[in-house]
Amino acid sequence: MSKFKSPDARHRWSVASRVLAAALGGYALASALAVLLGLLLPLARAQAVSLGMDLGFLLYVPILLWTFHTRSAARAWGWLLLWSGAATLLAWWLVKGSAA
Amino acid sequence: MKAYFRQSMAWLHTWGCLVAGWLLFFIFLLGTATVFHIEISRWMQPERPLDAPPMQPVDRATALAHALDYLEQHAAGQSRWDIYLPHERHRHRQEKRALLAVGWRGDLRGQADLDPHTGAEVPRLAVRDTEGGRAFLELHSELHYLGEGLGKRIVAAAALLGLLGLVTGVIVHKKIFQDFFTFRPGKGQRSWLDAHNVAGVMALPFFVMIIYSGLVYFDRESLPAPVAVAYGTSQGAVGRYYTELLHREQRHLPVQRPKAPLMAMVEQAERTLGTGEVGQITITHPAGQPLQVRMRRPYGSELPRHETPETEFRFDAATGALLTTPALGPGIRLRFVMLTLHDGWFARPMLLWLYVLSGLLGCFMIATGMVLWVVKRRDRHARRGDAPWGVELVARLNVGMLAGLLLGMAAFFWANRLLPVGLEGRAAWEIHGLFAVWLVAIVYGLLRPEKRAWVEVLSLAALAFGLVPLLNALTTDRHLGVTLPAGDGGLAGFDLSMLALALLLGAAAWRLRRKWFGAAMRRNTP
Repeated sequence: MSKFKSPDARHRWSVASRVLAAALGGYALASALAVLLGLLLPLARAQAVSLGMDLGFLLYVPILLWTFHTRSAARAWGWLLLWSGAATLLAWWLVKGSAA
Repeated sequence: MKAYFRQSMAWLHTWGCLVAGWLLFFIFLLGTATVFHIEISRWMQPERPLDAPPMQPVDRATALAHALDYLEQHAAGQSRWDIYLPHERHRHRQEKRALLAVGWRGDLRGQADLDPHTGAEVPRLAVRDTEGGRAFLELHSELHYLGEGLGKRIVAAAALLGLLGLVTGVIVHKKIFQDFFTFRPGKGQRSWLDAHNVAGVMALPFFVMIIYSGLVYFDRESLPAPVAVAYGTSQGAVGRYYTELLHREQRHLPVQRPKAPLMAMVEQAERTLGTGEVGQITITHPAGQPLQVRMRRPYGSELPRHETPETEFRFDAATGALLTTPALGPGIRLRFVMLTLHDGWFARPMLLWLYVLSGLLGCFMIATGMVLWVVKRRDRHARRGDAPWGVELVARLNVGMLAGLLLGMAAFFWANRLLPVGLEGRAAWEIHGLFAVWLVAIVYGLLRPEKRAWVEVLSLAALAFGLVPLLNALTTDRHLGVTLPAGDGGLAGFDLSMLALALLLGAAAWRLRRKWFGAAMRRNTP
């Protein structure tokens, strides 16, 4: 156990966790925001979807910066999951609303 | 807090770029070559004729009649006809610019070149099987051996890390600069950093543009959720999205010969576009609209890649009346501007060379960054008296990954001239040649002492590029002795670029040799 508790090992685990948070959680959030833009931009559907994707890349960059800057990996995971969940729920609600 | 921010950004810059560095170098180097992919393709098919002599005047009304005759005979019932009038600026048609060309799409797809004066079909040349410059386009955007879908996504991930590298690089730039002059004035490391920074800052807007537009290129592939949510995931969903995005009709009826004379429409369009500007004419029949004729400048003449009210004129094929071209939506406009900027097809030679120069600066920035990573860690560990294997591994891989790729590119051109013309799967073997030589160079870099390997691989690459014009002269009659007097800028430009590249790499190898082995050399000479 002590091997996992040494400051060096803990640092490594925290970095690995952040990388995963950036790749998975960050991508999920950028993707969900792109979906939202596609649904919310006051344009014809295809135009909004296209702009949403292309702006999505630009949103991903600051998300990544934040993920690696915030105080702990746990914080990064927490906020990323919370915001992607919220954005996904909102998108789901919007799609459901327009279908009904 | 501010210092901590710089620190975390420096960390991100270092490691994000280390992960993507070699791949980004590959993408940048091959991407730089694609600027001239049309000229490269011509060089790689030496069976094709020299560049056409200056255009002779063509009676365009006669040429158009010939084109329509041919299409009526060979492409009846198809949903789209294209006519390319002879035009000097049809860059993609190269040495065939002086000919009239027709193409069709629908159940069949085809194209033919015609003599603009007689309408006689110009027989197709037998050329060697090669991907030509297109190979670089493909490798650069979707890699190889991985399948198109996975390749594109890996390239997109690398591009995103590249964009992240630019942003974090700008954030840390100032602080790193201070660090150097304050703490560690080790000269070797500082000069690598300076080189890295100068290259990065010099063409920064270009890097941002080229990486972002590269991401836009395959946006749906790398960020599929928005299309999936809005259009579903069924088979036709993606097609529906693009049809809507481009304002295209989904259904097209078979086209027929327009009743109104085409020449009158050309003249009307040219009243706005300028005399002699119409290069491409398309005839389509979208469901629910009249049969129509579209007129454009030669492909690549202007910034937007696709039809806008400013660049395309539409006419009713029955009456010759002008129709309105619908304006494009903002989503597709952004996309087209980005794709056009990425391809640089609108550019004339001077600007194309600026693309090449910026691309090479990008390669230089990435390469110096990778070397800097090693140099910095070596300095730090030398003071502690250890040498971690990871740093040594990256140091040795750098040789093959960076210099070795150049050697691989030279091998690609060598393979084009040396592989037998009748070889089965010849085009694929040319590309295997690139990767095989690259792989050998990587292994070589791992086995040889590092400094020797750098000098040797760079020298070999210089030699390999420098000998390409000679090899070309020995194996074809499209060498500098012919292409220069004939004024064929594309073919002569290729050989001359090979020589320039050889000089550049040779100079780099020579400088390194003198720096690293100069003392030893002097000692050995009595």
